[in-house]
Amino acid sequence: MTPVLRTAYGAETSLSAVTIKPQEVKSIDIEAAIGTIAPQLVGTYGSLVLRYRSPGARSLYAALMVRNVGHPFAFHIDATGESQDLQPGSREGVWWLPKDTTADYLILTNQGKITLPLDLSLYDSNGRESKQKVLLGPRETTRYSIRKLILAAGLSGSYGGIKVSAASHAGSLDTLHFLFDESAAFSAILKMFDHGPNSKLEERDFAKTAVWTSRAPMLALSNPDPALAFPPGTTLRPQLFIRNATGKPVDAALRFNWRADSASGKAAGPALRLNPYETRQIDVAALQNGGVLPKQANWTSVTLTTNGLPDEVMAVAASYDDTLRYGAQTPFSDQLSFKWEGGMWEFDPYRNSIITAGNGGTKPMQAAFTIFYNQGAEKYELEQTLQPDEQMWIDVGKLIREHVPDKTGKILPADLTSGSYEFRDLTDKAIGSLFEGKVIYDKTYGHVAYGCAQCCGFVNPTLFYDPLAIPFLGTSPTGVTAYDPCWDTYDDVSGAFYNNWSTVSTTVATADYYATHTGHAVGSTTSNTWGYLAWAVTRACTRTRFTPSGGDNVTPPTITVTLKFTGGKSQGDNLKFLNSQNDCSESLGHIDCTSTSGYWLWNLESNAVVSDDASNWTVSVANQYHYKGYYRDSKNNLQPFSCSASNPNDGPKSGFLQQPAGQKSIFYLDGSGPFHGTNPSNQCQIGTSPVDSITDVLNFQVTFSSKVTPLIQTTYYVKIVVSPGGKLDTTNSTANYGNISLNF
Amino acid sequence: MRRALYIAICLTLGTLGTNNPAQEPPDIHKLFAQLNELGTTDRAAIEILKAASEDTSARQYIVRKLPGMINKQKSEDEIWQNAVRLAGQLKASETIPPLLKALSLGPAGGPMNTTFGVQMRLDDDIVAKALSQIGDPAVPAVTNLLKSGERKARRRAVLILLNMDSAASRKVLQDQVQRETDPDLRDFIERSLHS
Repeated sequence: MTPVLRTAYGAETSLSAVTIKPQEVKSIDIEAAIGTIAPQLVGTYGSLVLRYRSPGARSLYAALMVRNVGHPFAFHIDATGESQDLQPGSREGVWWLPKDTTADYLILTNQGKITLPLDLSLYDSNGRESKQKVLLGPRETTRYSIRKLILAAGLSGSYGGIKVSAASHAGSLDTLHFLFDESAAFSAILKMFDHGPNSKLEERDFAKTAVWTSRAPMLALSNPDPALAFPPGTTLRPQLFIRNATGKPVDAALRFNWRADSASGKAAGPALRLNPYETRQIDVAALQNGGVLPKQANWTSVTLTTNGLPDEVMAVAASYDDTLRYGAQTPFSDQLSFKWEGGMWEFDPYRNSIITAGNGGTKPMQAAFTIFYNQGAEKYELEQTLQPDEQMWIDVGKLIREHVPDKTGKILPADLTSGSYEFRDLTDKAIGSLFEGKVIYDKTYGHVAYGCAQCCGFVNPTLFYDPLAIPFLGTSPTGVTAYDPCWDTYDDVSGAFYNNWSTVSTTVATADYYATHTGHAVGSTTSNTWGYLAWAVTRACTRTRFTPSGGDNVTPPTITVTLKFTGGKSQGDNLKFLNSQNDCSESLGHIDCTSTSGYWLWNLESNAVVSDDASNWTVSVANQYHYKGYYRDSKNNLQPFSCSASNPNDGPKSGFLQQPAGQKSIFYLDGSGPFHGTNPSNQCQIGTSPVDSITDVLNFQVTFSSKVTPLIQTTYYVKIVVSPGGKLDTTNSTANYGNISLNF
Repeated sequence: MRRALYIAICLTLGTLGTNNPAQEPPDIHKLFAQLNELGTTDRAAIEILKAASEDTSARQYIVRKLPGMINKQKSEDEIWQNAVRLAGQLKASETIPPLLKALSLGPAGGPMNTTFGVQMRLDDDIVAKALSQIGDPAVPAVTNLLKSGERKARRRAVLILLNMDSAASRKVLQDQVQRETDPDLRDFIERSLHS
């Protein structure tokens, strides 16, 4: 990854490249790098570009921390990518000048290569507008003092709204608004939001509540958490600035999920009707004093719902003491995700990090939290069930300091000072219901800076198989996989597409709830499905409807036939030779059963493995035979005998045929061979005249057929040789594939 | 010797025929005589089967004669074998007692080469096959065979009932599944019934 400094006019200076390992966090000291590589830039301003090569576009998360040791300020600025589409849109914000000494900057940056004509509008709290044109050249950055602009416009009050709008290429515009007061030792970021006129509620309604919802996860309340190490007696004044970014009235409502040292609870906040472009200040401290929220509560999450479209209402939260010296912020966001990749947490004698994640959905969920450390090589994992609106609260310093074991019993090293983190929704891996937040507080100066994580989504959902091969009258499973650009992996997201499958031609194939396809006729068709996934777009994640499809080929069933002539029967073959009254062994091969039934036999097993279902097939056997030899007549003289015949329908019958439905293996057994006595008056019949010697050859043709598969035929032969004296010739008796001559 | 036997049979027929001589086709006597001649027995058997299927009295005449022929129990004799086969083909319930008696001769009249298909169809056991062809009238007699203590006898009865393939025979076999003491034979019956 190569950091590049851009001047206000877009000229670039590259800094040294760095390589970042998986899950590793790396800090780059920009101040030191400027001093070494580009000292001419000291005292100027501009933007920072990060150019990187990675398999996944969202593999890199970056934040710029502007701070200086010994000075009580810290700004956290998330890196955002450019969206190179032609959409119109705006950046919406709130300005706030709490003291006369408060200074500010509004930074506008054009990330793209095309000049952006912009409208910069400022509003007072009642929505009165002052508008000016701004032209922002390619890669240019400019800055304004809102205080000066307000004065010039004749607007009054200590807060109001900001709108920077572009008629096109709004995705190239980035803005930042921050405050500082050197005399009060105060600094703050006032988060700005993208507002697109084409935003759809469906795409941002992650929890499917039919109302647009935005949350601030960590608003510090009047009674600050002792963990923040503010001086004793510090009282904060938590407040919200809620702004209508549209020219029509909108309704909004607030609710709170507060937590104290040993208690937590919910509270309903006020319902608001905001006039066009109005900005309303909500004094949360007054809600605490009025009993809406308990006074002892340290933190609350704030949930803002509106009756409008996404980003028509925006909000900023701030919580500072009267001097502005001590305080904290928490950003609003509507984003829920199945996975959040966090930036850097810090823990040392001067700093600590508190990280939270909550369930923004309507059903209980299992959340997983992972800390990565040792350059991303090691991890520490916690899991927790979260009810709707419930948050898991992680004090990283406490985990290290108190040696808290993770779910595997692992503890974090005592000297650990930084690392990265991740949250995952283990219940819904397609969209997810997790929101998150993090603060890093400076114990020396009492300054608390928030950080954000990056939501993860999917791109390019595709079917497991395209085309999907389906055996006729058989089944084939399939599903949907999608690319996760955070992890550079393809994940199984089939669950998001259940119950939405269909095929164009149901006479060829059908698909069930789980995408198991059944082939009904040989041919081709197309499968369609739809489902919602978190989609990772450049600046945010959306709940997006995807409609992957793919081809289906219903193929004739296949069959593989194997004959076994010697040894033992195969596993799964439950048939028995001894159910034949002529047989005397369960072994394969030549058998002398003359002492029990009078026959010399060859036992064999046929096994066919089919691609569909064993019960779909029929098996038929035909044979031709010829035998000749000598028998002894009533006077004990040797007499020749010979016979040839054929049997076009020789079974197999059910007692020796195994082909149950639901299985893919067909077995049948056969034991064939001559009787040890012949009928002198009919040499083709069994009789009482003892056979002295015989050579008996039987040729078999086995035919397997199903409704659509051409006949599959296998041939084999059995040759039984009995030496003079009625002794089975085990050497010359054979059986094998193919047929042999009957002319002997 | 054969000539003398033929005359004797003709005399016997003449005596029997006095009961209803006008209804008997004139050639059934001749066919019956030919059935009892080694040189003509196979062809006569075919002709008799045809005549009996077209003429009730011809059938009646023959089925009365068959028990006597079967009782001779000459398993290697072509004439005896034809009588047994005709008993089955004509579904002559009158022949059930002599056929049951003939079962004691063991499998007879089948091809010298066996396969499991041959056995299952009873092609190697013409007496058992005749009983299976007679069908339901033979079910009670064959059911008795299932009470035999010999597995071979029970198995033979099972095959007869399987080849009958009627509701009555299947019911007997289903009942036998509960009673059969030999696990392999029980499995064989179940497997065959579920085909």
